[in-house]
Amino acid sequence: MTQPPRLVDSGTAFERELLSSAQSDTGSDAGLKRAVLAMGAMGAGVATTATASTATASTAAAGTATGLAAGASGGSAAAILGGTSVAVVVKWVGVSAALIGIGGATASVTSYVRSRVVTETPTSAIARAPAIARAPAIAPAPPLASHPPMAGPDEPHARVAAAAIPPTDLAFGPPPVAGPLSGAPPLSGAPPLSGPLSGAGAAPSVRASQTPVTAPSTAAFSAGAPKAAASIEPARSWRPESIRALPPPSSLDAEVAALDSVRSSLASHDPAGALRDLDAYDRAFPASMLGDEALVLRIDALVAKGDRDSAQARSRRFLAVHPGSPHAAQLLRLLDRSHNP
Amino acid sequence: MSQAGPAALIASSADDMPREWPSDAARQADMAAQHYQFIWRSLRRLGVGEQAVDDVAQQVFVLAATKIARIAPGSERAFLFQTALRMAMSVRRDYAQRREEALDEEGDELVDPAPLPDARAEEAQRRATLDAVLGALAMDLRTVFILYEIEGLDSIEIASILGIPVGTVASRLRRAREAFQSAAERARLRMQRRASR
Repeated sequence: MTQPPRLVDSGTAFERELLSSAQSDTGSDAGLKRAVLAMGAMGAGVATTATASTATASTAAAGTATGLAAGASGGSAAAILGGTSVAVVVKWVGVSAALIGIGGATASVTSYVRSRVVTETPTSAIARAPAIARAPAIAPAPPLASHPPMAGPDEPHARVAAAAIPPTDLAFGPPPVAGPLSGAPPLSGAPPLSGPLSGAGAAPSVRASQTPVTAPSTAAFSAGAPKAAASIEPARSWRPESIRALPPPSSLDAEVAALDSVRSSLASHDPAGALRDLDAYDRAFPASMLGDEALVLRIDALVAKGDRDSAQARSRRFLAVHPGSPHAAQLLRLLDRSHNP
Repeated sequence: MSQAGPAALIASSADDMPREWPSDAARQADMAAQHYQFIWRSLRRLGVGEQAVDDVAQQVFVLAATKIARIAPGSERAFLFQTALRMAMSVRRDYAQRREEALDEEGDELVDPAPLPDARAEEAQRRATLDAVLGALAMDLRTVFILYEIEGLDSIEIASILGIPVGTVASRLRRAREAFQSAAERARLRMQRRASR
């Protein structure tokens, strides 16, 4: 059928102006990232044993599904299943949620970790890992995606690479994702993840839906993919082998490590040290993914140091630009603290 | 609204079988990457406030994630939009007020953030006018209008998303445009009067 001319082309100047204004209204990367996290699309990791190298590549991690799965090594939380020939795949970390009655306005969020054990000898049961491996402050851990799906035979120990979600984000309980209906910013306790993620939401997308945006199941989320949603093949036919083709993850793990160090300084009442670390962070990661988080930490440090004016100025600037930021509540608390130390 | 709900896009069987996990996770990631901006903008134009829209968009995707295995491939956008539509209708009424109350409890130092730069303020003003004009449209007209005039979809895509006949899309679109144009004209005159005062 013929389509009537669109008002954005054929309308009056005023109509065109109004309609065009909608095009620059886009969601933030942080929002997208939070949504992905909340969906549980977050990938997890791989664990292998020495003998697991013969296992099929089906144990390849979904890990980089968001590019956030930096390789947290060290077998922290997930099941380490002893010396048998077992390959463990911590299944994706899910914050499955919602149950928002569409008509009603209740939200309840559950978090779960689904684990799956792929064993050569079907002995091991499902490891229902209770804790999503809290990624310890990992310095540049071997990035998952650049790893072969399976560790080689020389890999002596079972390794569990869990999604290197920054620790605070692992508190996927109801509070973080409690969502709008509780009035709390979702994932407000989840600073590290709201930095600018990719260029996805930054550029005004003109008629985005008309462009056949293909599915960047992995790369869109990685810092190194500024083109974001525009250019990656859909991952409809996800095959474990395809993990090899994934782009390398970002320096997120390094960023997380750097910010962890800032947090330790803050925890040990060393705001000056924290600020120095943050300066170093800014220099090291000019296009950081966790910039918002770093800013919140900086404000925290400034408050701790007693530099109230600077803390307030930064907070106000941030909130003016990102009024709906998940950090808003935290900043408000920090500011409150700066008023009433 | 007469169109079928998101439930219509849900497959009704073979749901409980264990599934290969990567496809779900990958589909979720794909779905978010492909449709987040579309859903976000749609929610805004459907009347969800700026303060609420991130949260509501998240809810839409989380809900879809819980049903991902049962959303027929290719129906993701339709499912998301219909979910967004319903959520927009249910939350936009009371969200703003709740949010303000929540913020008030936290502290009120930030009620006067720095003013927006001029260009952004103008853009925001235009959007506010746009939303006010859209607010003059009945929801079924507004929906079709947004999808066609703002999101740039064609009638067939809209019909498929909303689960209504193409002819219905065409007639709603015609009425929507008339309503929009007349509301826009009223808004323009109002602004003109205000400016000349």
